[in-house]
Amino acid sequence: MKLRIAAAAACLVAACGCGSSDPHEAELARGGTYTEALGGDPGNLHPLLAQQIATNEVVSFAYDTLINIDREGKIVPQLAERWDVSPRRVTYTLRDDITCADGTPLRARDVAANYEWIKDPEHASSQLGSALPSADFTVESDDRARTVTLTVPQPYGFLVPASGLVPIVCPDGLKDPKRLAHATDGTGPFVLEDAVADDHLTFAVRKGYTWGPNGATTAAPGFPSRVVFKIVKDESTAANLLLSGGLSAASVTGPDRARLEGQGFEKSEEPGGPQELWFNQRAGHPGADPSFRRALVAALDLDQLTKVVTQGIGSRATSLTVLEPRPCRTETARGALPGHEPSGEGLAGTLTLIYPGAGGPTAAAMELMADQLEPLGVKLTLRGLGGTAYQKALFDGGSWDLAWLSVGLAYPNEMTAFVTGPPSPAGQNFAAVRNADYTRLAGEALKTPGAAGCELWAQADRALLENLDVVPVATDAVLGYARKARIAEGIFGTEPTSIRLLAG
Amino acid sequence: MARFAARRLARLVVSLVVLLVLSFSMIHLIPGEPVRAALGPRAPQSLVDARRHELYLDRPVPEQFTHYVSGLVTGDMGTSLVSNLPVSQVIGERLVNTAALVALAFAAIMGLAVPLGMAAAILTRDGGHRGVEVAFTTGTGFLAIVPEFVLGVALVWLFAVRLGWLPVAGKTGPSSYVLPVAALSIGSIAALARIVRVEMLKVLAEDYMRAARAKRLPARLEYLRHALPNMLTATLTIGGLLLGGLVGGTVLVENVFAWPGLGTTVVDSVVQQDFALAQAVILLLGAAVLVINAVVDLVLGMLDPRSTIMAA
Repeated sequence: MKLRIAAAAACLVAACGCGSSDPHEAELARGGTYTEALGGDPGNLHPLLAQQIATNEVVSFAYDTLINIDREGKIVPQLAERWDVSPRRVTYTLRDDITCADGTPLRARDVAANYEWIKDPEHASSQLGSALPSADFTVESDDRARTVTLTVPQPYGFLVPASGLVPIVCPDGLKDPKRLAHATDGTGPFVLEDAVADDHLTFAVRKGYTWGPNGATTAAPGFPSRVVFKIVKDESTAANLLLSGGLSAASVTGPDRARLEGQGFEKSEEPGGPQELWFNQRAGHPGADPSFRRALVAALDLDQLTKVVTQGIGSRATSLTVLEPRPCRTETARGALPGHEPSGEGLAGTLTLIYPGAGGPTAAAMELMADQLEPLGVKLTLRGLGGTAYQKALFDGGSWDLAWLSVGLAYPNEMTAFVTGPPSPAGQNFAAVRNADYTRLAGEALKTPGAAGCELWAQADRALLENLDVVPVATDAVLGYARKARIAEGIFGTEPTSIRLLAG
Repeated sequence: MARFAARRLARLVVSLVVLLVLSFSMIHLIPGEPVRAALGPRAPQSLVDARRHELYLDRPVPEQFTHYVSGLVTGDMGTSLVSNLPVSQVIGERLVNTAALVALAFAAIMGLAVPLGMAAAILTRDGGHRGVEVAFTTGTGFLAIVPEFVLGVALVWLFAVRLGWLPVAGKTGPSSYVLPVAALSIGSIAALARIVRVEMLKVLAEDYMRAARAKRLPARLEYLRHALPNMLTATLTIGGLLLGGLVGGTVLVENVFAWPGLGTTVVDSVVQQDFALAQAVILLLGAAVLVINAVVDLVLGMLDPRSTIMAA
């Protein structure tokens, strides 16, 4: 279960340079077990095959990445002490003291072998399409210089965060993928000790680990000697376990959070992914007309919708991407959308709105939307659809006028597939968006690394918003509670080297 | 008896075949693209196609079915789309936990409901102990209608969170069985105890029981040798149905108690359209219920010569 912790807690990461809010050493426990709730069974623990959020968080405890991303979105060293990047190539230089869990040194060729493994279509690695956009890259290594060089055929602005966040498997593990389904073989701060399907996983700390993000170590005061992930699929059960001392940390966002307030837990609140309203812009659908889109958005009270859909704990969305912690933030929604002026001009008829799920706060918000539009002459037909049925309806394209969804993007370039190219089902452009400004700006941004690229992505996102191709409405708050522990959110969930157990 | 057993087993085989076809078809009739759903919208089409080929999903449905059946024969149930693990392994790791929960709950039901119902009948026969009758019928009536998950939540709040006597959730040792087994069995104990009491009252009013009492037989012999066997038919029939119901009850109870069993797996696999896992678990749970019913029929036929089940 992902647990997002307030920025202050992030200061616990040893080398982050903000030690003033670190707990006093006397407040920290000596060793001990940290137990965190995990929302589902992680299944196969091979990190290069991991598909689920739960799996990615768990394997991040045993496998390191070449780089990491800190709370400010800055790329920081981990296995790689430095990197040289150009639009088509990145060369990582490894630290010289890294060892695998069995004590063997990690060489540049071992790191390169991971990328070769991912490239092989027979392995069907989940890293393709998520971390690395495609398999048409080349990789070279030099053990003496400790360098690994990746080259892609087209300029790619996110080459470092994409390729640098691949979990690195040690050579023995890479040779025996079946073993990695239930064991770990990495360079990370923990080693899997015991796993019981659908119940728990226990990790033991590695001594002598000094190559965490920004040089974090496992020798820091308060660092746990064991980490247990307890699989808890129900929030009420997670709350009960927290109250009874059976968990150190869990994410509880539903009504059970009321039971956790005032109990002395460390509480954190982080924004989740934005929830958006999309218009079907295919011919024959009213959303194809920009003035209709503008009139409909003006007719909606987005603040009220936000309150209902987030159960009062979220906020208005400011971005099309998940904000924290990411190397490229594009907070573009502020001021880009029309204000709440329900005139009803240009609105009439019956529209079909699809949304994921059949109940809960999303369904309530959709009913509120229908109520807001009804006096203006718009009748909304609401269709709540489960899982794959929703995806099928969305990508089939013909049966909806409005769609509520959360695309959940980590990087702004991931939006491109959904708003350019041929409409679905031929392509992935499910809303049949045609936005020449976005296409041009995104094309430039894709070739531009660093801050300049981020600025171009911000402009591209703004082009989408100003044309009301997508309307980011609300951002859920992800509430985390920790008992006698302090932790920080990392790129895959709880940052393993941030955990500190408190005494008492 | 042999002809009855053969007939009953033949019916079981037919039911299993129907279940096999239904579980396979049901999952394939759900709209959507399971591989795309599992790999996410950003996965390259080449990866989706490769996985579909690997899972036989790019073949015609009849070919998929024959592949599935031949796999079942060899113990290969395919690979879970979500966890990337063999289905047989996913099921094997969880089946024992669900089976333990169901077996303990069933033992608790039969071990407690029968003496409780018999005792209530003995105390309240001929209109005696009116207070006991009201307390028994009210208490068991209430407990029998409380859903398992509500009972589970209440038990956790009281015994784990407030009193701290038992673990909140998970499989951590013998004590961790107490609350899930209680949640799973209390309603059934109450329901079965009511039926046992009614059956026992009927038996106690029979002439042979009056004769037994007239002979001044010890109470132990009177109730255990003469009354119990005569009320066993109804108890076993209802007990068999309850055992089948327990399999379904584990779905909610396992969720409340974070129990690593098959109950939560079946829900997750259907929601995530992990069709290989879902059809295997549905087949397994359905087969368990069918086998339980067949065994109960056979036992009834053997134990009770008055039973008409063999003629059915």
